[in-house]
Amino acid sequence: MGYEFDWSVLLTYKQLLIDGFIMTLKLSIIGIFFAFIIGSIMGLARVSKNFFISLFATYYVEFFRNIPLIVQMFFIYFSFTLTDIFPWLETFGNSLGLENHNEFFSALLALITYTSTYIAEALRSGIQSLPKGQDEAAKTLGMNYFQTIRLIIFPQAIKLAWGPITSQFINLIKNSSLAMTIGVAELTFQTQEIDSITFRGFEAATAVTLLYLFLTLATSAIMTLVDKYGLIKTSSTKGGVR
Amino acid sequence: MSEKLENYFKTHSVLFFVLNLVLIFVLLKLFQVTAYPDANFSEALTPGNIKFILFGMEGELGGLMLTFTIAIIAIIFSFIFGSFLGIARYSDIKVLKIPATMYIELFRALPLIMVIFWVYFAIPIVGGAIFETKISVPALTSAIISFTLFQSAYIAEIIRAGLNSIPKGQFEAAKTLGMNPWQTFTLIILPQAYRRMIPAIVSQFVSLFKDTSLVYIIGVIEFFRAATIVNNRIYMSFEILSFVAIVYFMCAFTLSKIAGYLEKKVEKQINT
Repeated sequence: MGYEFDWSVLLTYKQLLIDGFIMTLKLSIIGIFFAFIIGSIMGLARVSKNFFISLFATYYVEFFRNIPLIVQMFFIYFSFTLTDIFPWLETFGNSLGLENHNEFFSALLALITYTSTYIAEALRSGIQSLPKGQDEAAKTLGMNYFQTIRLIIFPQAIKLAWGPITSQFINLIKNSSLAMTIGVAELTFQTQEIDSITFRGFEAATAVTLLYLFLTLATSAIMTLVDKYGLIKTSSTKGGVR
Repeated sequence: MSEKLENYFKTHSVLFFVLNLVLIFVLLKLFQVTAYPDANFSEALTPGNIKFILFGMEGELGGLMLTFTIAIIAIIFSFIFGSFLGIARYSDIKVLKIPATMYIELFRALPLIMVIFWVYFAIPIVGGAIFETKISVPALTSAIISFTLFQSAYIAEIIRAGLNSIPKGQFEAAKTLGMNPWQTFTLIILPQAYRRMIPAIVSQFVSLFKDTSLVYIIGVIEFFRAATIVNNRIYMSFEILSFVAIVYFMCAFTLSKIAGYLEKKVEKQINT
């Protein structure tokens, strides 16, 4: 009993793969955007001098980091109807061209809460590895608290934490495959779809594997380029971080 | 005021811990009351259901116990396999280094779900094509295989980092003592590297423990699957999934605290 490869199924069902790829991209890009923002806020809050703010951030990070992503997704999806609670998600989803709003946003919310904790931790260790003198020097220059954070601490810490943050972005892209368990039609879901239509799971899985490889390699290439030439080059990091 | 409070809590850590627990309970209860007022925990979490979720069916391994079993077996295998991969990537021998690097990079770029699908669906197909027979792998075995394949790529990276962190002077000192490369590696370098890697491997175990919930999709009745089975029967998802989330949290949190404690201990050992 041999297995004959038939790669033509990929051409026949290429629309499914393209749809899945676009869905994964939507989840990933929106997820990365919000996870980065929330993660940054939580990371800064964890090192805050205010005891209660840092305690709150610690709760947030420890709580969402230690519950598996799939449990969070199921919890949100099966216990709540997000589109009923937040009706504006309906319009947002329509503008993204989605069909199943509730599934998509449940998966997205879980991805954001889960990944933002890891980003917060990466940023926190970046901040903590900055020398204490930076804080004091900023104070000497007459900067207030928010100026110090915005101009001195954050740009340097993000530069230090860029590697771990990149790998968290990649993790988010990979974890978006879990959205298939609640019925979001992303790449892995389409593998199953093609498998169940044609019984050619092997070919479909190969194609999807290559697409994931492409996505993660592209992400790390983009992040390296951003690190090298882009956005976060500040005067303080030009001559090396310390 | 907050500084005073912080100092007080630092000196009374047990009190702080208890207060934390109370606060967490109150927060969760508040969340439940506002978000899901008609939750009925006593109906959903009967002793029978809890027993099924934690220990599985009578007479067979299941539930949370199976989750731990899978995680422990997989971490042992991936430690062994990952050690080989990490050492191969660390070595200067091209025949070992290039395949190990490719393996690690490939598996780190793939979602775990895809790995599970590959192992569960593709091994029978490829194996069938090669050996011309029907091969079927039980779901539990293929779960352990996929976790091993996936985690060993990460553990290999930890091991490589551990090996890289050994100062070059150690090699030279061993050479001066007249040791051959094999002796240097097994007696001097590896023991030191392993000691430094213990915390990272414990945190990897935490992530593996959380990842075991993914075998849900191939039907292994571990903790999460058992919970969803109960949920499908009585359809009280808020109650059941809260219970699952809290148990996962307690286990993973304890384990990650152990990892943090070990990290501090190892750091102290290295610095002194």
